[in-house]
Amino acid sequence: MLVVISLLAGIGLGVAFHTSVPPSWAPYLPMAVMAALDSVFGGLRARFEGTFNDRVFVVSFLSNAILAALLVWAGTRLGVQDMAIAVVVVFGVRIFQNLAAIRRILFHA
Amino acid sequence: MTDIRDDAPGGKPSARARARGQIAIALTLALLGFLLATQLRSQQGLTQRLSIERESDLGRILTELTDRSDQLSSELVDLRVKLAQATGTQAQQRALVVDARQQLEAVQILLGLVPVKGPGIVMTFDDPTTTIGPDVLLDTIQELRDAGAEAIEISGVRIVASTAFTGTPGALSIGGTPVSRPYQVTAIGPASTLAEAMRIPGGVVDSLAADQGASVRITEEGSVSILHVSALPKFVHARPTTRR
Repeated sequence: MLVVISLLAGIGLGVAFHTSVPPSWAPYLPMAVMAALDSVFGGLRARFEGTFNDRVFVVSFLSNAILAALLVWAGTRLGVQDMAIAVVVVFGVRIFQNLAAIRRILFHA
Repeated sequence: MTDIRDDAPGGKPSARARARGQIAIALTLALLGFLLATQLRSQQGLTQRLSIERESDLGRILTELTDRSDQLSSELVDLRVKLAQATGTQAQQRALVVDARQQLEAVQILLGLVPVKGPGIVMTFDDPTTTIGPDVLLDTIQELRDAGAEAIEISGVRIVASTAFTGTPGALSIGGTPVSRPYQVTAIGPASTLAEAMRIPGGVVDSLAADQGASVRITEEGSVSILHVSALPKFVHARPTTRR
């Protein structure tokens, strides 16, 4: 319950403050969001599987987001412009896997 | 990357540790919400605008954007040309400014608006028998100017184009200011030439000596200062006009 409320509060804050993304950050924020989403679905799956640990969740959430953004940044620095695609693919696959696992647990199918 | 499922939960955590965990999760999720909302907002504007338009509208937008782009590039060319012109005229303008500054300086000295300093002579006219009239001073000025004097002052009055010499011997006025004996004349210019011009036969010194009584002392100086300035004249009647 607290989880849902805080999520809504965060969204509310984001909507209320018209925070505009600085142009220099624009390529990295989506990556951070992807990583964060992956962590959340991973956490959800772990919860259903009974292996959830809040410390692991928080640390992985932050480190995933920061690492994803850093990776894309390093990619542009190295001239690998498509690093973002790699990050999107990796996190996309992981999110799908996590969602599939959750579905299997919930619907036994 | 850290994997969520790596860690199995340890022993039974205490109530306080669990509450802290809950708060940490809540904060994390609030952060996620914030990030999501920000990212969605930044994308929303663009996608929303494009998705509600129909194909023909999109075509129109494209043409508009192309037109705008063309317009901007032609504007860019225009501005480049202007920039080139401006940098060309800049040197010209700088020369004009230097010229104008020199003119201003000359006019300021001529009108006696600024203190001046330079080589020149200092003369003292002793006049115990009050024989020196305005004509003598006027002649002196003429001689000095002829010899190349650039700035002249008599007894604290700066001599400029509009200065008039009036009065009678013993009660002289220069430019409306009464001056008293002995009269001190300071002139800036080529010092030796000025001194010579004063001493030539039939010149100022000569004729004053002939007038008995009056005498002149002349000293050449490497540097004399004329610190008195005259007020900027107000012209009421004369107006500049273009030459026809």
